[in-house]
Amino acid sequence: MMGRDKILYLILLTLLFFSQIFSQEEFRKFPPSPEPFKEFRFPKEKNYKLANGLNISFFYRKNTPIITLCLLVSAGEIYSPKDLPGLATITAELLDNGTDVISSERIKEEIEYIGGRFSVKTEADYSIIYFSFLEEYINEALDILKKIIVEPSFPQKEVAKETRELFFKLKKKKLNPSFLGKERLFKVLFPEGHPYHNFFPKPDSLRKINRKKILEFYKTYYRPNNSSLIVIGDLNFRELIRKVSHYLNVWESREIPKILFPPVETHKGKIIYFVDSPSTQRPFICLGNLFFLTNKMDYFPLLVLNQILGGTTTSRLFMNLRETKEIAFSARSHLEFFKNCGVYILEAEVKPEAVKESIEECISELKMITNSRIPLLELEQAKYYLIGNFPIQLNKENGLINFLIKRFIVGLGEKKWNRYQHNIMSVDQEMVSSISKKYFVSPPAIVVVGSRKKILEPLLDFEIIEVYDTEGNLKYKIEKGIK
Amino acid sequence: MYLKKSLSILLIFFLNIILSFPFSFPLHVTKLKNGLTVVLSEDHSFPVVTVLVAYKAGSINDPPGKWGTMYLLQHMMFQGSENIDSMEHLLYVNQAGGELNALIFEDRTFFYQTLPSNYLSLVLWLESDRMLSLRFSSYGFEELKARLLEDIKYKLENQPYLTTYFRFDQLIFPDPHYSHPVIGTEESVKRISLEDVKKCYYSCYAPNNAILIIVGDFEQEKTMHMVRKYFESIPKRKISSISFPEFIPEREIVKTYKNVFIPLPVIHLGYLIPLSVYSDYYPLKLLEYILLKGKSSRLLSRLIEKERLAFQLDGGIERKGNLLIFKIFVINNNILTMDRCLNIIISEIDKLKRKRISEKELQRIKNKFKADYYRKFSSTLEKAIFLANQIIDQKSIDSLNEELNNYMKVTSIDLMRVVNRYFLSKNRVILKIIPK
Repeated sequence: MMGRDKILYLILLTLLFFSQIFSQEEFRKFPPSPEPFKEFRFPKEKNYKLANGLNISFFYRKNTPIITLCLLVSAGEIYSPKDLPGLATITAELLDNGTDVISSERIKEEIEYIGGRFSVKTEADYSIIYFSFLEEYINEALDILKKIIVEPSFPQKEVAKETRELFFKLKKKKLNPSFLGKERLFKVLFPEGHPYHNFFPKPDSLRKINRKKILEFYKTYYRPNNSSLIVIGDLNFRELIRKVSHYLNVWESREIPKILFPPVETHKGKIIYFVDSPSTQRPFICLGNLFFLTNKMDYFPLLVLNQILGGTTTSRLFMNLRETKEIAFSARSHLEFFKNCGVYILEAEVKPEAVKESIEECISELKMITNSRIPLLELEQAKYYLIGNFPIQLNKENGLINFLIKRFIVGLGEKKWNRYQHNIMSVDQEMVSSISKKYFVSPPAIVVVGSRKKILEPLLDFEIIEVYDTEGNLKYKIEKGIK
Repeated sequence: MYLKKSLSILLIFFLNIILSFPFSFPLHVTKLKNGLTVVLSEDHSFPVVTVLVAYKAGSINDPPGKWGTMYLLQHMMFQGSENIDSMEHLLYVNQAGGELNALIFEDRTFFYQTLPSNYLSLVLWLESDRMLSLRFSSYGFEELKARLLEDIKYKLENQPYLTTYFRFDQLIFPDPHYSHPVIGTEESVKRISLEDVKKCYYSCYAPNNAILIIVGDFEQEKTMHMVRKYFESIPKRKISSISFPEFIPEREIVKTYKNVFIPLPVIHLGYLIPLSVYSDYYPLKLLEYILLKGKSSRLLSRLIEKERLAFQLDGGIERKGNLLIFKIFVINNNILTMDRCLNIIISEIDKLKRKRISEKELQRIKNKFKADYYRKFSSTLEKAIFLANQIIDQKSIDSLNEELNNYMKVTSIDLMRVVNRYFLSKNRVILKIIPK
């Protein structure tokens, strides 16, 4: 009896042991539920306008040993005269290259002495100056900023050097299929003479740029009433305003000439714009069209729509072109916002044998998103992505700055932006559906970048193909059925 | 001595540290029964959390002649595990709005994701499942292998200077085990079998060879409970530990090759430094700033700004086992001035042997270094990567303030001493590659 009991006991123990293991591992079978969502409170903003018209936005970040400044000047490439593309870029690049009394080397040393990082970026509408440094050197930093913004002398020697460097940078860009594609797309979407038609500087036009033109451009557009300063750091706001005012009140305001934006319409053609780039191994396609935000609040459903279409690697374009059909190396969509319009772009790096199929798939995805109702689950997933990703973007270095720049360009009020997560959450199927019909309905312009010899032939099925070289010159036109 | 001190850090149980940094950086370090080191650092600035799993294994763990195996394994980690299907890891993270990626180096591999903090348990579930039970499907493997072969071809064709880096590493470590490309070569990848990848997984990706780092908005006690739940039952495994061989430079190496792919001539120059006194690392790191970092650095301002001999200049200190390599890489403007460029680099280094750097320049360098050091803490991900590297490099994480002070205490005499001690011609490797 004892023996049988012992065996039974052992069996029970063994069963218990295995069931414990089993139950221990049970939790591995299903994903745990998330905890309640934590709404993100946007950092509090304080604003001030100096007497000379400079707008200052301040965001307090506790215990930050680095202060970040960002100056947005409404002096992007669209303000370069038509015959001088690149003037805005060169002007911005030369700002830290010396004053009448201080050399370029000295300014760079001064920036590094305060643990500084200085960079500029020229986009279509704005030139953006980023400057971060150790917080204990705030006075020195503002003094440097004053030299850079108020007192640049654009020495001839530095102009020549910068022009040469920019020339090589642009030449290098001409090897980049994505740059070539976007450059052609904007030329197609905006008619000749429109500021956005030609906002990519051309290497050859740099020769016409000289110190006099740079000074003229600087004096016209680099004005406090044409600029905004964003400051992030562990600072006292009043103290900051006093200091900024002390260093930058000598910056004189002036009336800024207005530029004209001739009316444009969405693209409606059926042409394939082919950029012949013999060195391109992975063909690049981009499809895009203009949209005009008639209601600023449409921004939020547009973001959701873009997320569904091609915002990330789980969106429709990537899943279709790369994962299901395996015809592309990458595929995505994005939105670009400008002062009075926007452009949506679908782009993909595709396999050489699948250029035509990839274009057809992109068009089909566009049609599907405008003609069919978005499934509720997909819509919710897109919204969750945007809501969840928002604080992640802000958590990155320069994340807050980049967000504020976007806010500035799109032009929604502070309150609407600060309710970003709420505004995304409010988007429903109806809104996305009406937004897609409102903004995405015209057929997009189609640009292909690749080697003509390797990939052009399958595209001959399209009605009309215009073939350009990498410098933007139209080489010839092919019409279906016409030799 | 240093090594012992650093190793002891890894053995600390329930260590709570609050640093006297200008910003808050609390750390909680512990080790689970299965040997997994866990580092938690709370940061409530944003409602996000970064989870990073660092394995102390990289391309030097590739089986001989099958270079690229660990790189393939890194990609296999997204192909599913016992309870997670292929691509599901990505989908789960993405649906929460999160971002993820992986990085592989010679001696370490990082898997990381940043998500809204309410999804912390999801990431722990995902990471623990692939640490415990990676799935090895031959279809997924063949697909990855084909993609990798395509990638290798594309990278070699589009990054013409890439092969010159491999060539340089081969001069230092002629045994390809220590100098092969992380992604492998076309021939070596073709030789890799699924069985090879599996073996590497079981011998390298184990809790006792890993560090779990969590940085962000969470509550320490609750998180530690979740960590134990998901990770502590993962069994220890037998680890194949491989390290770089000891290296003692004996004579200068100078080689010149021709290459058909590069458009401009390049120089790779390296000083091999078998580091016996760890405190010398601090002035050596600042030397990197004096010579190479920033527009005002000596080589950059002279070769690019003033004399315009070079088109691009790069470099810094790399660590391979006990060996530090101070690397300088230059793309020259033309072949005729290549030797002049090389002579200037050597003469700038010699200048540092003879003349003390001014106090003003030293302060500039220190400020630049300090700001860069602080910038490493600018996001939860940056912090997590910083912590992983500190631990794997056996550097202290219990007194980051003290470590920063060690750099700040460097004097011009220290700098002169290390240049004279380590920057010798017998420690030098020079590789010149000219276009064919």
